[in-house]
Amino acid sequence: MGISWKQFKEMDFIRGEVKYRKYRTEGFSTPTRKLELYSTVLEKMAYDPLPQYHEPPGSPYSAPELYKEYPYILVSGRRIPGFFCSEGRQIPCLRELQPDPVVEIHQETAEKSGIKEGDWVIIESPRGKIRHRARLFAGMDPRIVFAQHGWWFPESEDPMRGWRESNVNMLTDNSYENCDPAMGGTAIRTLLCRIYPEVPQGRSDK
Amino acid sequence: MRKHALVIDHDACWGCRTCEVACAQEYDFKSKFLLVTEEGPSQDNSIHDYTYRVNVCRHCEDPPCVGACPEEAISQRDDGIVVLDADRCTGCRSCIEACPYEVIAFDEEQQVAQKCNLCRHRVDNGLIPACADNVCLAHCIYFGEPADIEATIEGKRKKRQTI
Repeated sequence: MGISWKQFKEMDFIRGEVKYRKYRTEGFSTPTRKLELYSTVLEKMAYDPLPQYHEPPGSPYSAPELYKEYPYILVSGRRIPGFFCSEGRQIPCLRELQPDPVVEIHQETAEKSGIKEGDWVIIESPRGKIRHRARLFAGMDPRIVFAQHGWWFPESEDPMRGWRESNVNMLTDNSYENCDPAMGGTAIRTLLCRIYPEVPQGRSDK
Repeated sequence: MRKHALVIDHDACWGCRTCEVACAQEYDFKSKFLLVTEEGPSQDNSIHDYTYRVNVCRHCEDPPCVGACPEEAISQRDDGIVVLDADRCTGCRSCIEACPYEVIAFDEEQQVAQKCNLCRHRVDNGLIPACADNVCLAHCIYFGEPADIEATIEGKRKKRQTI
């Protein structure tokens, strides 16, 4: 790239030449070379070519009965600086920064569920349950439960390294109905869940 | 000699904590002189305020820890670096109480106080401290001449239109 290591270290980032309005000479990267609101690619694959909104399957609106039993919306994609997806749990100096899986909930939600800061809690969906440590956070909607993803425990003696214990994939839905018909993506931020302390109140967390 | 300073642009920090790892790595994972903490969310005029704070020795202009130490174990070099000599420390913790930034730690095992010596072994060899050596993902830790750093930070804030 014609720069030295020393020069690179002084830069914030490297990027190639930035060209604006390329479409004027080259068009867009679609079969028609036009900006496609009507996707000819999706049409060719026999999917609806126009963007549409579908309420996700497990939401308070599409599943009101389930919502009575599982009264919180689980957002599971929380990024953790230091780790990348499931990577890095085995590196001691990174793990020290984030020793446990942490779920963020609003103070109001915590009070209703009898959860205190730092408590181990169970997050449960119709498909399974996992344990995280609770962190109370006022900067979020009280209807949301915000869990981390990618957890496993390299220190565990279990040959599966305890991944079933806290991994949010235990709660998500892989069923055909839940997947996006064209892309196959799973709903990971629109799940219903309930949350409660791991040990009944009054007992110590040991 | 040139005056050194470690300046943190807290507006830019988003809590990646790479500086903590860089510090621990520099000292073979035996010590860490830097800790990122979270402040907030506090509610002011119904706006949530939430920030990260990089807690590390600021190598103050007139460091209160130097005067507080009865053993003269803490001194300030001509270039501004405030150094704690663990061999002379008796563990009285006076410096810990005196520090306005609460960045002097106590090593329970050795029974001595511990603080950032601004990677003097690196600085004396023409390098910059581990935490400021372009490890920070937000590029918010600066080392060098205070006036230059202020100018750089101001330039960056203008660029991202936060002033």
